[in-house]
Amino acid sequence: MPNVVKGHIHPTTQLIARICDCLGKIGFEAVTGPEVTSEKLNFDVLRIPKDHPSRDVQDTFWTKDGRVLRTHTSAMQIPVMENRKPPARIIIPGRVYRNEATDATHEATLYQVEVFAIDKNITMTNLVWTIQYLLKELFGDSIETKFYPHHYPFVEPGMDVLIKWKGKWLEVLGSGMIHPQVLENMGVNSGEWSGFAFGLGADRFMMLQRALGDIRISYSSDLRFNYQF
Amino acid sequence: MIIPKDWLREFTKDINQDNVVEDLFGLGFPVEEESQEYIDIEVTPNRGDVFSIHGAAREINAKNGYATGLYQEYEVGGFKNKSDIVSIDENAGSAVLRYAYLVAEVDVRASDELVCRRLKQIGLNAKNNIIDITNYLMHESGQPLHAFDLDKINQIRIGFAEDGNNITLINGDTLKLSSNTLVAYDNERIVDLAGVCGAENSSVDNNTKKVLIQAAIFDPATIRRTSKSTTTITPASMRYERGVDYNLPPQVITKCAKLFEQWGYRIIDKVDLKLMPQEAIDINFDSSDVESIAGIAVDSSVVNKSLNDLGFSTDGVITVPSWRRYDINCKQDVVEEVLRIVGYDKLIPAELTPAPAIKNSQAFHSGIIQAMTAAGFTEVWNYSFLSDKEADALGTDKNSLVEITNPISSENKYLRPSLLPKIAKAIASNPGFDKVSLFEIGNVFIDNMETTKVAAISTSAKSFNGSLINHKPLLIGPDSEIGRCYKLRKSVYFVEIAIDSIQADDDGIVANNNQYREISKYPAVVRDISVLVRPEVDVRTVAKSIVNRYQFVLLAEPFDEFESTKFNGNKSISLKIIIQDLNSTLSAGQADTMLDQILDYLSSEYDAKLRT
Repeated sequence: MPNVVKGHIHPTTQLIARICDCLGKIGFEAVTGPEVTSEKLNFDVLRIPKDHPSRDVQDTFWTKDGRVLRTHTSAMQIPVMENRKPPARIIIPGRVYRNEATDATHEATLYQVEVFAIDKNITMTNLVWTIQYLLKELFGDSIETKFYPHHYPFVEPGMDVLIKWKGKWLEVLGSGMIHPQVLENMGVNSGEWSGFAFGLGADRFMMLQRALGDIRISYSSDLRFNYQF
Repeated sequence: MIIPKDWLREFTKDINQDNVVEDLFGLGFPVEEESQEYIDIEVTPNRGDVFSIHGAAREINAKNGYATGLYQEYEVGGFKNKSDIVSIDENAGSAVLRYAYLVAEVDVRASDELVCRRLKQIGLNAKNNIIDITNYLMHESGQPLHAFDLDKINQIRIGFAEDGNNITLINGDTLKLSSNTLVAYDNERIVDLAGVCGAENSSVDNNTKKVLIQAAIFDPATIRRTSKSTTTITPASMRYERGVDYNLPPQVITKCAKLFEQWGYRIIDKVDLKLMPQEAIDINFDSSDVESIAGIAVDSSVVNKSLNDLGFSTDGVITVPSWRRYDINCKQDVVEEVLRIVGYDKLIPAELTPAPAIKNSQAFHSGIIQAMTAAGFTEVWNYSFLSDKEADALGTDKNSLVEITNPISSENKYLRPSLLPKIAKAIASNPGFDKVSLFEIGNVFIDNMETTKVAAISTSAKSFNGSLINHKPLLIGPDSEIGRCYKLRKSVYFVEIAIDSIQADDDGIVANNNQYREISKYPAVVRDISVLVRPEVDVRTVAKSIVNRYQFVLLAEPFDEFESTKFNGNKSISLKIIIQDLNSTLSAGQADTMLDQILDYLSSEYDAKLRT
């Protein structure tokens, strides 16, 4: 008889699989990279300079040897493009770390997915389309979305995306056109190429999809949680 | 930032007040809270110019088609350009961009009701009319002001402190200073933490008769360094860090002087030292840039009006207004300005050009996950940090561990060099399950090497037979270091290898839509059931139908399935059922009743017979 006991796959892994499959269909390639990186790659090349309050938005863990636990998967933007020439369509899933007090909705260990595309004549309307395409796959065709301006140092114009969830508008991801300076830092000629980028918190998306209220349970290995999926 | 609504209305008279909240969202300032009296908005680090009532009003008016000016009713003039009181040390030359001030003879009183009420709304206590008006005008205009008692000091010399200097602030706290903190000296005494907070020794009190009101522009990075090194954050330091409008000082000193005159004070002197005049920032931009970046065409008349209302001049090149010089430097910034007025809702989705599909399972090791789950191992996610105790139990040389300088707690001092020990903890912390096989894929850290590994652990060594990780597992007993660290009750078997060393075929992971059912705080009851069913019945379908039907079932886990000639062509399936109540501990009797319900259901739905 086939093995009756089948293991369960972590719900966030299942989510990453869906995201990578969905975006894979339109030519996006998933790439992973190191969780411990340099201050330069995590901040400086993304236009988050040391003496600027934009550094305060993400509290950072430092290692004794002067490296940084990446605060966002955007830290991979420059390394990914080091050995690639545009056009490029990339997904970067991975763990990130924030030096924050933990509670039901805040964790120090998080899982993010970064998505970016660089091509000729990519515009914000392409970004809007790509985000809606992904959100419909994850939440159903009838999901309502709203777009507002927001500032992130590595994109310009920048944008926040909200979905209507149980009657309320929830901000679920940040996005924008890759800043020309960041494109240059990637070795990409910003006069010739443009790009968009967006990032989402996979834990948060999983919690919405599965009706989980406390993020800490996801990392607790409590089998009464893991076996439910 | 809190914006009292009646204060805002002073600057936004011509607009529809009902739309203000939506306008703010549409401009990029999310409203975090709204009450009858105020709106609380998020101001991002690039927009120091909106850290004021006037700044927010300017944005809202532009969204509604109006341009605004600050304090237009006051004619700015009559400032001298030399000072007998204020000087700047040579080595502090690049830290002070402008310094304007007035000197007045005063008598200190209580503030009027309006000022007291508005200060309270923004979270400040009223102290006296001099200190209060500096806070009031700062919150209104965005220009930090500071009041010195001119009978307590003779000069204001801006320079850097020396390592080991002290300052006692207005609130009585004493801070240690260092050579990167900007201060004001009166001869050798330190009388102000420049741009951050005033000192006790020069502060205005009820007996003050002569004041100097300072409106200065400091270099943002310098003030940020002071704020960080003294761990002091004030409304003034927050504004300076983000960059204050170079043109504000004389405007705000003018308004302050008018108010003082209304109060019957004599203005002795007004000085404006334009130490580092700012060159205009011009940007090459054309209306067609909107379409190439945003993807929608906006008429050039709309582009120009939007920019003009926001304070940009559009004569050939785009000239950036003085309050946006810290934020606007390329044509992409200008495009965002146009879109903020026009509205991001005008962005119509445009499909990406088609590209060949890519199969992505390698990046998240889908083949390995499929192989492990097929062999009965459940995937867990654990934290990446270890404590000293755990590192000791693991026995790794601490010199090769990656140590965090600022961990959230001492429990999280190191990065894991291995997926052990946390995966062993996972077994120990699930005593309610006696046969457990788990795996984890994650990164581990030794010195400056980071490797992706897969680790598997099981209560039975046999679980590894025929699985993808077919290595001889390591036995970890309850008396081992790790066993004692986590109080393991029985032996477990463990394997860990680099992910690169194995390959697995891959059909893609199938995700389900299972919703999380809350785990009760109260003890659950666990019952194993074995029933006979026809061979074509899928045990997983049975399990799922039990969970879907009965809210009190937390889990229904299949754990056995076999055929036997004794069963007359049927097969036996066994499931572990966990029954719980969210609000109480179940009695054995209650659990039995619930179990009977389940068995009745299985009997009617699947013709299942309880095995005796």
